[in-house]
Amino acid sequence: MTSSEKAPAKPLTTAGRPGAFMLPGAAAPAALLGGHCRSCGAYDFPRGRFCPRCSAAAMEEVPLSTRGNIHTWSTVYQDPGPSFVGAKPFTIVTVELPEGVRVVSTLSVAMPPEELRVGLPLVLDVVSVGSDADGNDCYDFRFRPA
Amino acid sequence: MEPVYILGVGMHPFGRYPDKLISDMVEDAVTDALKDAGLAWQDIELAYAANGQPGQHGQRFLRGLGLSGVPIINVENACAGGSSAFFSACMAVGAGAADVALAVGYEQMARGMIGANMARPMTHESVNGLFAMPGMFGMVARNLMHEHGVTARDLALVSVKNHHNGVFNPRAQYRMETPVEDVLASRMIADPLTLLMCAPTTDGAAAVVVGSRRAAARYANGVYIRLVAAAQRSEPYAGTEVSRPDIRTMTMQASRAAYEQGGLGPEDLDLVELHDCFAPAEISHYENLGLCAVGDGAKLVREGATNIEGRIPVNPSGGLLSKGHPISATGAAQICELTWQLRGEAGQRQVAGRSGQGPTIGLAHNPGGITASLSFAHVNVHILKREDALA
Ligand SMILES: [Zn+2]
Repeated sequence: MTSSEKAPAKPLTTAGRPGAFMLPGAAAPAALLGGHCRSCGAYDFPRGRFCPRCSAAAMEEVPLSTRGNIHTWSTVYQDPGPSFVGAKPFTIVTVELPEGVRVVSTLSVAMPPEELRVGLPLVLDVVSVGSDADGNDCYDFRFRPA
Repeated sequence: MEPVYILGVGMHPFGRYPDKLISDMVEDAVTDALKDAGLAWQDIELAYAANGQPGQHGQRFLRGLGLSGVPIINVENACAGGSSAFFSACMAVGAGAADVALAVGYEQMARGMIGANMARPMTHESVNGLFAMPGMFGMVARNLMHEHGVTARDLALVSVKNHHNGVFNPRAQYRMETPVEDVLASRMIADPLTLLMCAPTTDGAAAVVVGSRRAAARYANGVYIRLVAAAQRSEPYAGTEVSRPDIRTMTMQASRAAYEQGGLGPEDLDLVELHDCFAPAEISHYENLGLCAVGDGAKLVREGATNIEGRIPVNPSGGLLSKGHPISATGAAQICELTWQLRGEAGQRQVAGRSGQGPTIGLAHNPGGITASLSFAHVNVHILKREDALA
């Protein structure tokens, strides 16, 4: 690749797995890509090859709902270290999706503590997190109030 | 399995020793444990060394004790490393692979929030600060508040108790009383966790020498500390029935298995050393270990039931909050504390036991690691019993 060529937009890995979410495109909006077990019906995120419940090698890739609710949260004041991208303090959230999957990320917008509560509706957000060592423009998923 | 006994325990005091060699701390802890057992380094037939950083192998830090040729196996199991080394040493002795084995855990940590220190490649976890443990346990605390009415004051009371206990432990990192107002007013780390509700980063080492019945007959002096249960679990599938981060399921399963192995129940325990890496963990684990019903954990600390003088003393050593949390050493240090307590050698922090005649049964609980699905990665539960005759 020469410096004049633009590197492709790249979603970050989640739990070590690439392709855990889909960037918004012409045909489809952004989505988390989960797994759905054809054998027992369990959902998982990110998708692995085997079902976390029954171990069947029967996980089909499905886009998960882009809306969920706060299951629990914490606003972190301590310095998260050099790899963190975003404004500080930041709020870490566990989000419950309608499929029953819980995913953890941060809020993409600052929220005052008094406005945060269990059950608060959130919607998936795609954020630019800068470029990696190879010059790819990297994106990740966060959540914002719906 | 053949009976397994704790023959000797030793600790390098926990604290901040940035200029000290790890090998010095390891040698001190092992030498103390050997002296306590009445053994020499050459008597160790097999060693398990728990360590958490790349390149910190036991072969490197134990060789200073003498090139005895002892087989040394490294154990890396995050915060559960020390108890995993202990488990492995006990299993080896129980299986007859050795008469005398050593478990040692050690750590020299960088300052700052656990999990946050390293620069990492860009991943979802790294750019969102998800490696930082306080955020995880802030979410655990929020969950306890939402589901069971736990308050910030309840969390603070855990810190007050454990810091009070630590005052009486010469090997603890922090030996200071922390009044509840001071805990609540200390710096906010991860809402609702303040600084004094978080275990510090710590350097230290802890060692345990275990032996067979034959070794105990030869070296123990009339008081026998026997392993009566050793249960381990990794992350079980817990679906959506439990809250995430799930710090409950694994500990519930492991403690149930341990009680079954030991032929006893939580009501038989005289003391518990549990993994209070953050104050809400202690409240949750009261419930997960069956010391009370789910939802009643905060009541125990409010009523003083888990004080040294209480119905079921928890963390008389000061726990991780006060004693400190040198990752791979923590689980081995819990075994040291149980042993001192069961022998009646714990000085001002000695618990009296249910009979008032000294404790006979103690439980140690040491989990570690967080998985992608927000569960703990591994847990060890061990139960020790003091006996006046060999089994
Ligand atoms: Zn399945």
